[in-house]
Amino acid sequence: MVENTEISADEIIDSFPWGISVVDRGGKVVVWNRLAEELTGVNRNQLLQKTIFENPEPRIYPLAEKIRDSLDSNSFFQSINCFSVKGSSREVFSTGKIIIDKQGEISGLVILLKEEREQEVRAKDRREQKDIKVPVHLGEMTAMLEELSRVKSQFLSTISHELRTPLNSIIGFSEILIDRTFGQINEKQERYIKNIYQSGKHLLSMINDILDLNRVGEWKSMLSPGEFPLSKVFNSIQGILKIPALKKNISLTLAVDEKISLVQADEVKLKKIIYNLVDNAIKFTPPGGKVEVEGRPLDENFIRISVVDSGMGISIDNRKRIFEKFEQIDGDLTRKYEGVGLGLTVTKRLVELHGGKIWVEGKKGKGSEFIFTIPKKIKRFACGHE
Amino acid sequence: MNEKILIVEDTLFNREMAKDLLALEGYKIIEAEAGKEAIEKTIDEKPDLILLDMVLPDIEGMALAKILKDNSQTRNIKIVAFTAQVETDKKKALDAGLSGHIMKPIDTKTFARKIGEFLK
Repeated sequence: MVENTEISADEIIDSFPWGISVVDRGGKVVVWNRLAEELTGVNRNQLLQKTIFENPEPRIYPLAEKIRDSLDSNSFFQSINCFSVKGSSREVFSTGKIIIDKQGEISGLVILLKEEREQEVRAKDRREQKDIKVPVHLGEMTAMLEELSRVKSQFLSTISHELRTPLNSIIGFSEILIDRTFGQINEKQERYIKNIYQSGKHLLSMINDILDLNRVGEWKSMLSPGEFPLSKVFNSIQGILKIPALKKNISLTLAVDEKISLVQADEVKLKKIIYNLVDNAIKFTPPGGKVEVEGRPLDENFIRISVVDSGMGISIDNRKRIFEKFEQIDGDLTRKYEGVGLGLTVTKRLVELHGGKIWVEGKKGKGSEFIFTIPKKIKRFACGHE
Repeated sequence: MNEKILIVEDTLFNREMAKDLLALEGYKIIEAEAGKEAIEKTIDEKPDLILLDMVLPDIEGMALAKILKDNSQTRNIKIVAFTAQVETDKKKALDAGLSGHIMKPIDTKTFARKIGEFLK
C-alpha cells in the first residue's frame, strides 16, 4: 500500500490519532506508536523487542494482564486503565484484537489506546484554569511528590522483605524447639519460647499489614474493572476460610440475593475486602459462634454486603477508630488476638476506591455487623488525582 | 535412607534450619553458599537432590539450574527450587526441568516430608 510513496509505514503508524501497539503471540512488543507513548508515559525503547509481561514498568502491568488473557483465551478485550504521566492521571480506553495468520493460527494481538473523552475535556478544563491562576511549577511539584511517593513505596517493600527474613528464622527455630524436634525442654523454657514464637508471629502479621497498606497506594492507578458473579467471589472466600472457621467450630455461611447476578468491580480487590472482613470476624468470634455474609441490593445504584459475627461487638466510641491506622480496640481482651488492625484501614481504602462506603453496626457484647456498599455499575474509576 | 542432599542457600538461618531438619531424617547433607561452590560440590559429591535458593550472591538460581541440567554428569540430579516468590518462580521452575519448589519460610512440620516425596 505504501510502496510508491515517500511515507514509511512507521511514519503512518506514528501519526495515527490512536495509540497503537502490536504484540506477537509470545507477547513481544513489535509496534508501540508515538501516541501510545504519550498516553501511557512508557517509551517504546523500554518495550520494543521485549515481552510485555516482563516489563519492569508497573504501570503497564494491568494492560499486560489483559493482553496475556486475550492471547491465552483467543478473544478480544476492552478495558479502562489509569496512567499517570508527568504529574497528571488519565484514563485510557484500550481494546485488543487477535491477529490470525493465513494458516488460521494466532500470530499476535493489535491494541488500540485512546484517552477517555470525558476525561480529556476535564483535563483540558484543568489546563486552562491552570493557565490563569496557578503558578507554572505546580506540575513539576506534583511530579516530584509522585516520585517521592514511589520512592517511599519502594523503600517500604525492600524494608519489609529485609525484616521478614530474620523474623522467619525467629519463628521457625522457636517452632522447632516447641515441637521438641531435637529433644526435651522444661516448662519454663517452653513458655519463654512460646512467647518468642507468638511475638514473632505478631510482628510478621504487622509487617504484612504494612506491606498491604503500602500497596493500596500503588493499587490506585491499577484498578482493573471486570464483570463477574458475586457468588464466584463468595465461593472462593468460603473455600479459603472454611478450614479456619471449622477449627474454631464457627459456622460460616455466605449467601447472595438472587436479585444480584453480575457485579462490576475489581475482582481481586473485592475478594480482598470480603476476605479481610470475614477473616476478622472469625478471629474475633469465640468458638461455637457464627459468621454470616450476605450480599443484596441496597437501592437502584448500590449493592450492600454485610458480615455479621457473634463476637464481642464494638462500642459506639470505637466504631470510627477501628478504621484508622494501627487501631485495635484497647483493653486486655484483645491482646490474645493477632494483628494490629491495619487490615481494616486497607479494607476501607479499597471500598472507597470502588466508590463505596464501609461502616460497622451491632451492639457491644452481642456481635458486630460490618457493612459496605459498592456501586452496581462502576462509572468511572478514580484516578490518582481524585 | 542415606540419600545425599546439597543445600544451596546463602542465608545462614535458612541453610541451618533445612540442614538440621533433613539430617534428623537421616539424609547426608552437603552445603554451599554460592553458585560456584554449588557446581563444584555437585560434581564432586553427586548428590541425589539439590535444594536451590533462587537468589544467590554470584548467580541466579534458575541460571545455575540450567547449567546443571545442561551438563551430562549432573543432568539427572533432582533440583528443587527454594523460593520466597510464589507464582513467578513456580512456572519457571517446571519449565527449567526442576522437580518442583519449596516455599520460604520453611514450614518446619512438613519440610522433611516434602523433600522425601521429591526423592521417591
